[in-house]
Amino acid sequence: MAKKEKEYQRLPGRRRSLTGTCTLWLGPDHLLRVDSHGYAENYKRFYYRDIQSIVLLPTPRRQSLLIGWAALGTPLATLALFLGGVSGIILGSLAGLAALMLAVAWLRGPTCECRLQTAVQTEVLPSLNPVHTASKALKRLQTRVEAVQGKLGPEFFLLETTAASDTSDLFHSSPPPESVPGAVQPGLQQPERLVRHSSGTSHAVLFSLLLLDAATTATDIAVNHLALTLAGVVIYLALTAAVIVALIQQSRTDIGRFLRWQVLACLGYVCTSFLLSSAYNMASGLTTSLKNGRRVDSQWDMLVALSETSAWDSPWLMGLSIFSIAASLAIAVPGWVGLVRFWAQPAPLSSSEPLDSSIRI
Amino acid sequence: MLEAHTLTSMLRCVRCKTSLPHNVLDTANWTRCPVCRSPFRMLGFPAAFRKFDVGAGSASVLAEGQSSCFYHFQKKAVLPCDGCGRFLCSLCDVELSGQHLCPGCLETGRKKGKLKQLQNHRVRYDTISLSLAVLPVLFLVTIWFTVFTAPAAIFVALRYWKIPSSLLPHSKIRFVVAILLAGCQLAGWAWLAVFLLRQRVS
Repeated sequence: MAKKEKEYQRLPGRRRSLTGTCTLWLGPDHLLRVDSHGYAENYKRFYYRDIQSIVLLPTPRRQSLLIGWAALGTPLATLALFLGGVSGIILGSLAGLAALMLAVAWLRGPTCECRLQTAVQTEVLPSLNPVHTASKALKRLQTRVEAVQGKLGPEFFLLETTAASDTSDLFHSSPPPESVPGAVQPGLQQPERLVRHSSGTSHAVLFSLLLLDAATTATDIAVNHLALTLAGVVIYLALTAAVIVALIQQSRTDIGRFLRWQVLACLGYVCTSFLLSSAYNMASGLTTSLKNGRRVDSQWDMLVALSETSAWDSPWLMGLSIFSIAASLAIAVPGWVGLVRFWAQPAPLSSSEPLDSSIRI
Repeated sequence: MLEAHTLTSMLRCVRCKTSLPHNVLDTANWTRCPVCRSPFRMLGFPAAFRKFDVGAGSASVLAEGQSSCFYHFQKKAVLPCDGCGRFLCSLCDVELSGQHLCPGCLETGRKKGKLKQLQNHRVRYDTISLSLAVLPVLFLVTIWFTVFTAPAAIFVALRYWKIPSSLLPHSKIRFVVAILLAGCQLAGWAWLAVFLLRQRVS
């Protein structure tokens, strides 16, 4: 007796989150997305006959995880070496855990976002996150979809191009797209909403400030001076402003995803640094007041007290400084590499001005 | 099939929305949008070029004695509903996985869960039953709750035994484990009760 064929076959990949898990299943005539939330399951069906395209977009999740775990593990390991004893063992264990997570993130390979498009919706498939898993799953899905729809050959595009040019001749007396300076390849239609070309200046300023921040913090470890502490505060404020400007500037521009994520990572660093510094300043101000009997009433007093404290005397200040240097370098150096690559690419549109309306369909 | 194309395809760059040429589709490695240079990999299918079908209008009743639609008396019936047998015009006919249904049967089927194709939510009673049997045992503080949770686990397992718990292939193993565990817990409580009674009697 032939074995009964299963109605649904599981596709590789699973996305776990706090709210549940997401998996994909191949059905007889549809792809089923299952969102499990503990005691209930929600389903979404994508019929093979309706699927128009499946897009994979690279995401910087892996790089962010690697940078994040490295930025967390390095100061912990350094502190563990400095402190020794029980604290050293605890911090060393945490650093080991960070190293393990870093190794796992490395082994999982590059990540991507998978989007499935039909005529009425574009749906993200979160379970297809690592690129190798997505590739394996898409091979199986492609076979099913092509069995229903057939293969997409170049003849479709030829027909489309002919139809488009014929229609444009009817509606426009202006020159064809090929003759317009800076126009795109024939057969491509310009979008209604164009993205601006970014010069990358705000990002350059941001990454430069991060490098300056790392340099100032490193010098501050070696030399205790009020001027250095003040310079650190000014650089930090400038960094905060630069992050905001970069976030605004990169909106709707052709700046790469990696650089966008670097700016977000910088925002995370600024916020974390603010929280940690505030906690340390409060604690150190209290300690100074108790030890020396000197009142720390204002921000200035706190700044003076901070400038008088050497990083070598306070392991927490040393940890904070090492974190600051590591995070700044971890964001700024890859950021500069990404920026140089971005500048090396040819600008797709000559300027941020919109193209001649005559080449729009 | 080639006639069914639209003026512009839906195969567009995700970022700049430019229509993409054929040579950037179905590539083994990452490719870039010719306009905005953003990297991607795309699989395209003929549905991107499909023209939307225009819905067929229903014909009026022409001659005496011709069947009319149950819902529209002035419209000519084209087929009976596979669910209730009522005559339907082309406007009322809804095709679902090869079946021709009227809006009423569709609504009833959706509400009662008889049409599997329309279900988009299911409760996992087997997981609920298993949780009721397992979770209180995990902690010493909550072990006393098994007086209530063990019968509840057995009730849920027996009450929802025949109700399909998921669209996906699943066995009844969770129900079985839940019943066995809850049964053991109840047996334990029964033994404790008998033991205490004997102690009191003696």
